[in-house]
Amino acid sequence: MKRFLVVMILAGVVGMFAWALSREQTLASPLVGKPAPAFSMPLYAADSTLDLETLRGTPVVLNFWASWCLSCRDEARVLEAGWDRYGPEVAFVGIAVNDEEGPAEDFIRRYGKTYHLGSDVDGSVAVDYGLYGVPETFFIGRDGRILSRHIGPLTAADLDRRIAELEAGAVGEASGDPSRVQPLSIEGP
Amino acid sequence: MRRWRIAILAALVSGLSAQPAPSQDEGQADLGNKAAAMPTDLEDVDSLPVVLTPEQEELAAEIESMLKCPVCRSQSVRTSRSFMAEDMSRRIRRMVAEGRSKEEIREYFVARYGDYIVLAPRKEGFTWTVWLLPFALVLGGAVTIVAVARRWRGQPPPAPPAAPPAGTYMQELERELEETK
Repeated sequence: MKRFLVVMILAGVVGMFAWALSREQTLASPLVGKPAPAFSMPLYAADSTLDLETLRGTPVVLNFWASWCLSCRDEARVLEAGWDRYGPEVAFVGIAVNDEEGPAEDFIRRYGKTYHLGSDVDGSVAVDYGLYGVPETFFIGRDGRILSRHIGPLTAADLDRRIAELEAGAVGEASGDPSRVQPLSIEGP
Repeated sequence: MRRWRIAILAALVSGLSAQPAPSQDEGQADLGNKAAAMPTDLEDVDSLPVVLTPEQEELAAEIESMLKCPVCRSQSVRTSRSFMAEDMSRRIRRMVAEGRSKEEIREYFVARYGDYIVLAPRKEGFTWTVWLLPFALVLGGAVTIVAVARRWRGQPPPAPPAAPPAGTYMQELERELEETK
């Protein structure tokens, strides 16, 4: 009996440590259900800026990406196809983080991206959204609240499901694959 | 490219700060105005180094040491050299310059990353276990050692190993002695 108790206590301690370690990169964001942090960013396509506030009333797919991120290549065409299908009733916004102008513009051209694409020049938007890496996508409802977050590359099925939630104004479950997020620990090549 | 921009802007700021010295408070307000008024298409004025007083530097350092770099393994924002930590440090310094308190800045990061971002968790709710568990384990270990020691003390001393029957042993010895002669 005593041995059983000792084993149970040890298992509990090991379990707690395992749980703590698994929290390192969590899918859930404390921002879900809260107002999306405001930002204004310069756009690549035009000599203008985009202010998130101007999109109030429209559901927004807010995607953080970088030209050096391999997983971002996997979802690039999915996002563009999504914009073709759902825009402009749903706004698509891409924010390049820790990136340089030239490679970012090459990436935009290579994947034929046409939605709002700009740059987080000083990394402040990434901090405001509690970013770990790229790609990460936030889904913002008409009322300006964050309804869900997806980490890792989006598939067409993920996007369709999330947009259905956005249109219904429903808070969605966290989703994604943390192993396919490239952390912002170093600058890309 | 980004590094060059920052370097150019930093040089511009140092040039501005070399002008006749205003008082410290005026200097900071002035720096903000000048940075905002720079005739440039460089959008990253927000990435300019933030000038802090020695007290503010101390507070910023304390907050940087308190927060975890989210993309590193057990490193604080202060010790990490990652880009994420740089961005966080810049935000902390700007908030300190705006006069935000340590608690406000901590709340700002917790609201975005969760409690996980704080290196030393708050002493409330479930996080109490993190503080109490090491003491509980030490106490449990001490109790176990005392219990085991008492049990050992209460036991009779171990009996000496049983000797082989004397007759057999002596016969064997004599046989071996005979063989060596």
